[in-house]
Amino acid sequence: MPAKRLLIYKHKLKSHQVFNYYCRLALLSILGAKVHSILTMLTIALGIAACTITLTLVNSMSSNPIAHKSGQLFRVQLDNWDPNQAAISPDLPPELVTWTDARNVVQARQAKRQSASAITWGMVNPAEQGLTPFLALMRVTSKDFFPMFDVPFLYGAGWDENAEQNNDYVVVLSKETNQRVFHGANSVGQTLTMLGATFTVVGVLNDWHLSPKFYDMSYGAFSDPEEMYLPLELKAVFELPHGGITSCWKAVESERYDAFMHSECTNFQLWVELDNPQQKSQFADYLTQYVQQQKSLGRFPRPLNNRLLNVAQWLEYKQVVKQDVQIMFWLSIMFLLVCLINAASLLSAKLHTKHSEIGLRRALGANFSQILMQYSLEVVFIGLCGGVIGIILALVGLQGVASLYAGYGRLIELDIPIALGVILLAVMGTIIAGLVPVYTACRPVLATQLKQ
Amino acid sequence: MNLLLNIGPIFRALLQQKFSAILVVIQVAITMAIITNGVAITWDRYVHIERESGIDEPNLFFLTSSGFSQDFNPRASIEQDLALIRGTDGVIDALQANSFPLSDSGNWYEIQTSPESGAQLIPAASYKFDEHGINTFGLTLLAGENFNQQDTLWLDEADSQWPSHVLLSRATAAALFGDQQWQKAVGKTIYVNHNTPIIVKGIVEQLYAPWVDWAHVEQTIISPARVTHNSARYVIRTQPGRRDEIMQTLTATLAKMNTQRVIRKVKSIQQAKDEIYAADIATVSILLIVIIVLAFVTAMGVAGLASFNINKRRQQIGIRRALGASKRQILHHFMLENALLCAMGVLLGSIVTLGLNVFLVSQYALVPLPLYYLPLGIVSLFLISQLAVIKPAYRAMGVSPAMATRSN
Repeated sequence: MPAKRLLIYKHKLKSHQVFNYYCRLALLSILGAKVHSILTMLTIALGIAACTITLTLVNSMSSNPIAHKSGQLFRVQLDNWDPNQAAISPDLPPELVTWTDARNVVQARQAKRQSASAITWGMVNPAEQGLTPFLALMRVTSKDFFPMFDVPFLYGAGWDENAEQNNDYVVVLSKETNQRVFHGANSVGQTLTMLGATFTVVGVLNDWHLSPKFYDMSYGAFSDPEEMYLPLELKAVFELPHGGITSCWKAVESERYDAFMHSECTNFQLWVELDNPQQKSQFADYLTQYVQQQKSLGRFPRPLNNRLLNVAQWLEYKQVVKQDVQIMFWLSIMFLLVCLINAASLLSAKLHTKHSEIGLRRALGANFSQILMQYSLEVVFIGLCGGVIGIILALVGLQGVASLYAGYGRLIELDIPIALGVILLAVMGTIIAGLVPVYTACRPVLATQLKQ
Repeated sequence: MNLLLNIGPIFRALLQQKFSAILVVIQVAITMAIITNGVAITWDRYVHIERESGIDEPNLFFLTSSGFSQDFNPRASIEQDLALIRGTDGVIDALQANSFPLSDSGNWYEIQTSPESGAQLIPAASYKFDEHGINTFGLTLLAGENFNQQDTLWLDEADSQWPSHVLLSRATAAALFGDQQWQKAVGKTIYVNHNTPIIVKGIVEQLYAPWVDWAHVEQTIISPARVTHNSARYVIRTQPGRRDEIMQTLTATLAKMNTQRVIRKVKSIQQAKDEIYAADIATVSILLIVIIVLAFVTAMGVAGLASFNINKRRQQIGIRRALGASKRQILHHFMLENALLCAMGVLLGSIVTLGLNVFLVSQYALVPLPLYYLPLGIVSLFLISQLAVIKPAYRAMGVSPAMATRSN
């Protein structure tokens, strides 16, 4: 039988001294069974790591990038679809609107702010800057787009009403594009040759990476924002290509560009900003009126079916969080449970070997709650160590996971509150799981324990 | 047979340590639920990723040529480029394509067998490949014949005219004419855009639509049209093993040959596939790691408990040995004890597995667990736990009968 290391009370101790003493006891006990302790900590750590990783994934995918305005921004959907078949079964309107409706709604100015936009692309020829031409991804949009979505500017600002009215050739660059063409200098007022014309830079964005990119997810919910922004009307002026998703239910009448623009093909993302429920209901009334007016012109053959979803509702509808990730989240919760149970059974096994020590302590005058306190500290300590190792494992694991999710890998970052929450959960779980064996170990009859 | 007789005493011994026994049972049960459901999902995703798109995936790559100057002549440039690409050593064939499998962008149309308004509409993704399509993508022509040069129609960017002849994938022909009758599609007239007639010239075995998650992914239609874009996308098939080398040299050659354009988006089909299936590949990898780690954790737990039990009962083991039990019997005792716990675990585990599956199916669009996964889960859990207990049980075998005389 190995010699038991016992520290005996010498005189009456102050409470913090007692606590220190318990801590030392716990440490001795942990170090006394190194392999066992490491195994227990590792088990807890694995559970914590798995949970933290999946929770981080769910969280980074389901975050609302504009939470403070989520309730004021609304996606506008109008049902201009085929009378015999809904755009999205069973009876949902299309997600995008036509050029006609996009312009009509934006020009009516019935909301606080409104923007219609679409992805397109074109050649940029920065010969003046001495660079080789490149193809840039562009967004044609309304001036309200920038204030609406709190787009951050590094230099300058979006274009104004006048520029929009006069079809001025103005452009807003992303920070990356400005870096590429103007080497990061303040390029406001500079000119840039693109689309065969000369454009004036009016603004440069600061870093702006929405995740998810809620206002237009047609190139993926985690795709990058566009490289340049131009006024909406320039799309028709330059006959720019239709990027993103184009859906038509009626064949386009002719091959000319403006035939497409007057068709029932949807390609534009329409958003409005409405400050309160009153504004919202007024805007909804306007939309009803608008669709009815269009019906009298022979459009909108389907029953009235306008939708206004705010950002949170829109993200929910678009199912941005991949189902697989949610399933993995549930599996990882169960995984943590298995790990905690495993830790509990390991702890319980260890405490069984301590019966005689406990008996001795009780015989020397320690009461039940003191013994309980003493062993709970050990459990808490093991739980915390497991938590710390778990977070380290999670950090490593997240690196791996990020490389797997090539597209939005860089958006996955460890969330501190999540990590702390999981550790807390795990420590609590370990304590609950550990307390049962501690309790049973502390309770038994003195005489039999001493005898062993 | 005396093995089975031992169950009674073993069971009663287990009752003496309910807490740890219950923990093991629950642990085995939950482990089984996770492993069984996890393996089912992993397998489902794996099958999804490994589907055959019908094209020669390992040897294909694509690139885009974008003209930018005012006097850039798209048609001349395309002809010149293709002549050069096809003449390159190691290139099997190449073409200009609007879209292709795994490209994730393209158009689809509804086609029908008669121009009447009540006819069934069959959605099909539209590819514009000329007579080089079959050879470039490595498609198998099942019936009818390939296009010839006269079939090809040169179109403007906005021109949506249809050529007179098309090829269909077998799935499209089957959807139009019935599963058994797909061969009959050859020579028949079908209608696109409700009333534009086109003749089916041939049927290819398999050709996926550009979007892998599309509900009608096998339904495609090929028309021999070439669109003159300022931006043209070329798909190139190389001899096996030479893809990466040719990708590099050809990009450089094309860029040098015509400076009125830029070459961009050079990518192999394999890369495009990996990107498209990134989320599925991630799911498969993560689940596999979880399953392996979990099996390991549970095995450690089982081994730990067994080991602890054995240490606690060294004296008992000694007594049994002193009373004449053989080493084998001691080994059997612990293996059986473990099997008993495991049996209770998998019994509970079957319920938890099905429960978890019902939950997942109700919450997410998941297919219900095929029932043969249950015995699979049971067997693997038995294997894991029996393997885990072997080492501690061997140690128990080594306990000497003399232990009977000592107190622990």
